[in-house]
Amino acid sequence: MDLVVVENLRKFLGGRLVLDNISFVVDEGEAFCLLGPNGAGKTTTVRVLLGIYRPDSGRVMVKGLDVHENLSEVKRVIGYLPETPSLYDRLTVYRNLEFYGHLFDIRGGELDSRIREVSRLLGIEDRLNELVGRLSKGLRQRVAIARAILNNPEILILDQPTSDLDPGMAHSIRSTIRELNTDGGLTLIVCTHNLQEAEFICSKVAIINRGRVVGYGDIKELKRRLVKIHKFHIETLDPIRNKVHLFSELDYVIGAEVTSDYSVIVSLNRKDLISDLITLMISRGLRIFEVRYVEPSLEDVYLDLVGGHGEA
Amino acid sequence: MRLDKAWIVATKDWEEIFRSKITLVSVILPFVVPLALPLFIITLYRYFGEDIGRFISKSELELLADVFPKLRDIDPNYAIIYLICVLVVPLLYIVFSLASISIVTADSFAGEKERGTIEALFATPLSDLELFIGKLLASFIPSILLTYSFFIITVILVNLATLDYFGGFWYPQAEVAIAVLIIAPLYAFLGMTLVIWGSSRVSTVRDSSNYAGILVIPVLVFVIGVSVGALVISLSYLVIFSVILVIVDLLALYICYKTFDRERLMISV
Repeated sequence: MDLVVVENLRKFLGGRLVLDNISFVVDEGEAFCLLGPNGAGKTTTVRVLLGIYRPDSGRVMVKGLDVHENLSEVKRVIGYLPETPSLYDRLTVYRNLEFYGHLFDIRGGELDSRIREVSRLLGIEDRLNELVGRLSKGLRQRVAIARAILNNPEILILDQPTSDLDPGMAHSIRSTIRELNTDGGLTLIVCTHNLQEAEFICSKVAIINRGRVVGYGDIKELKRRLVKIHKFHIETLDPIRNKVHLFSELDYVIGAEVTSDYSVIVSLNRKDLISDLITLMISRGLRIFEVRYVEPSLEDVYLDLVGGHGEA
Repeated sequence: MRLDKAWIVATKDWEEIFRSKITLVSVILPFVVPLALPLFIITLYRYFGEDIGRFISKSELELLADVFPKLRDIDPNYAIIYLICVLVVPLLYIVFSLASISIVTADSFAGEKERGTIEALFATPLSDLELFIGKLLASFIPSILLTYSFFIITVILVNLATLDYFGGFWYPQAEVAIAVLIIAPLYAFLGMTLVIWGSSRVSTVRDSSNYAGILVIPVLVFVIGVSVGALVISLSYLVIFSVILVIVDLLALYICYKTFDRERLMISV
């Protein structure tokens, strides 16, 4: 079922077009990623989705409801973790969660048990009486995620959930987020510029650059479909270092990187031409030990679509 | 519009802001002035006797009585106490009903934005009106509680301290009561509405405080001017002014709420 539908979304901010015809669909139970460099339009897209910004044209539907005509109903099914944790430093963890619970009409014993449940889930149950301002960044992020799922949302939107965290804490937070999707069945929309994060948590992606969707679909499928360079790792029984010049004569070989005396990674513009290359190598006296296709990474897709740098 | 939602926002703001003792003291301290001023003057009378009363000559008193006829009913020796209590104290309460709490008012939206908490708040089912009223209550309730409490204490202490001068409980007059109990909250409400609206259009508390000064000073001058005139002239003028202020307050709230813009608040730098 289509849980979130964004259609031809356009948005101007300060007279500048920041979203240009953005469209994507997020299915129920899916972990979806909005991937792109800083300033690409990810946060703006999310803010339109949350009803904070009005779209200049296009539609945003959540559970079949137009977001801007049914703001209150839509917000009840969404949990949101902004880029900054958005917590009140001078209040305790419990009071922060209680405040947001009240705004979502959760009261009394139900709220208390919900706070304890999400705290257990995020590993902060022994921190409830501490002031948020005294917590480490990692713990604050856990509290912020606890707040985002307090209202038992169907969709959890996370904007840069691990930015500013050390690698260990980032990994721990990513694992928790993934569990919310795999074990909890929560639909996720994750905004990030971190490819590792996108690939670890999500199965589907919309790559945004300069306000446009430049790549969209299942991550595995996208890698297969969009990667225009095919890499092969070739190991030989004869030294190869002095024979690399062979490759430069071939127009279908884009590059060759010698990794040892007996191995090389070659990049081809057509996958099927590997057989021609191997035949040529054998004809020139090189005995082949192994040929392996190097699976493209999301980074390859990203760099191919966005380039080495986005718009700052 | 659900008032309980606005109340939730207001109580959170109190907990957050008044956890700082410095803020709490800076909000309460100004109210000591209208409480202490008449008591200070009365104490001077006690030490220096009726010499203090001669600071105003008989001819000056006559002139004052022309515009303030009630002075004719007062023992000329105590005219200064009377003028301080009837003219100065209510005006101080009017000024401080807004000024003392301005730190909280200016912080309303600009503070949430500066501390990065506004975005999560916008993602909740709170409506613009609930949020706006919540921020208004966060400033208005402490202001009205402090104004009323300190005024009641002022009334009790002034009457007790001047029992032998005026021969009984003489304070406050109806004009004074209306000025402090009705005009002051109405003025504070108007000022707070404008300051909160201003706070939603800037990005830092400092900008918001500057904005507050620009917005509030003309209102303050107008309210003080009219209040002085009305206090001197008659009760009916004060009542009419109160009714006009109620209408202006509601109008200001409506316009500010209608022009409140989440998007503008988010993108303001």
